[in-house]
Amino acid sequence: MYENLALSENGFLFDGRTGATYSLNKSGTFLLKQLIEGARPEALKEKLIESFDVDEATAARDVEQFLFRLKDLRVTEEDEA
Amino acid sequence: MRPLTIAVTGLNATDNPAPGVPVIRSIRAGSPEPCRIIGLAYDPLDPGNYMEGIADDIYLMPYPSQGAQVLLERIAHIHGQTPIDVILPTLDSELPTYLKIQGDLRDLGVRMFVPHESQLRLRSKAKFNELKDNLGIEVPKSITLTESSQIPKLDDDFRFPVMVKGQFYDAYIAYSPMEVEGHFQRIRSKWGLPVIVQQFITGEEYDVVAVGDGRGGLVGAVPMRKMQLTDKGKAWGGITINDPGLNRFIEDAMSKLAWQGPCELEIMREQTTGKHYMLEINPRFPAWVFLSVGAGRNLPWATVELALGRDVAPMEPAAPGVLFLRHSFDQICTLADYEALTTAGELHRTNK
Repeated sequence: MYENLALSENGFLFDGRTGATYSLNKSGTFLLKQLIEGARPEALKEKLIESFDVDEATAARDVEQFLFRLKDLRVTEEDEA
Repeated sequence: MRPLTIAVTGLNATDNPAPGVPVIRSIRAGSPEPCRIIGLAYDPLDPGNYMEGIADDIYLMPYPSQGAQVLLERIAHIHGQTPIDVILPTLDSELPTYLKIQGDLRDLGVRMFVPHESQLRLRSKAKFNELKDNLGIEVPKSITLTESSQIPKLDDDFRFPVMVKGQFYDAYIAYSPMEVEGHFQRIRSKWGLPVIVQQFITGEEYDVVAVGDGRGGLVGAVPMRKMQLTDKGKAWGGITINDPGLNRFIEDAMSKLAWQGPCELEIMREQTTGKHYMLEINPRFPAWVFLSVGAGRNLPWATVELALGRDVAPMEPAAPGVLFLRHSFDQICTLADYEALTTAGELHRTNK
């Protein structure tokens, strides 16, 4: 699902399927990197809490919003067969 | 042995440039041996006439409106001086005339690899519905207007907004039949009838340069997303993409059309359904075709090889993420060169 994405260490994201580019903040870069490296979406909240100074409720909300945004932008859309 | 000699038209290079200069750059980049390039220009002031490393010889050409016989005579004259192996016409407006003399050119030993006349007719905006009806290629629903009395009935068939387009150029969005009326009159006075009303599709638009082998096969295609536009909506910057769904749509359309030669496809991906629609087929390279070279898919050179009867293996989709940014440039020209083109209609840079 993520082979079309090029994400730099600085959070510059290029979606090769749509040609769109994005600038991600530090936590967004972290979360997307986790997904690209194979993390399941359900595991993202714990990973965010482990690496950032954030409480559970905020982490849950942020992850949910981030995943929604990625889907809305087609970044995590599966290719049709 | 004389070098391979290729003639290319369309050397205008203004803010709405013709494809000739980038096509020549592509050929020079693709040819393993140095080749001789003849520029076929319509105006002594076409900047491509004067650019270093573009055309070796430049000839002024008659406008297409002067007819096929005049064009053939001019090419025969040029061919007598500098034998031509391949001509690549790069402008929509000249293609019908070149098609008329294709047989005569072949007799002279001059080859082309261009769409068939029937394909030119199919891509006409006024007949675009036939792509869906006859070939099953998705296009936005459209009707042709020949009189303004048709406009009040548009409500029955379309949801607003709609696109109102001229048969050759111009497109406006209209949010009501009253707005359609205004655009209809404007387009009719500028471009004539019919005027086309088309379903408005919300989504992402992609531009594609492609070459078909004429037997249903796709030689290669480079899709891109426009990143910068001029005030005329022309691409001034873009980036290659690789979307498997879009690639399948392109391959399918080129197969159904059995398209021969180069084309530029404008394709819309509908936002909510993800369905692709063909918006336009231009029967020539786009002016941004040098991006295909940047992406490692030299489509103009492939077209030269096909014109020469050589086999060209189908190209894999290009890598995404290759950008082009166009820039303008003040070309210094000598008075002697300008004089040569204005008075003799020829300029030979190789003899300097």
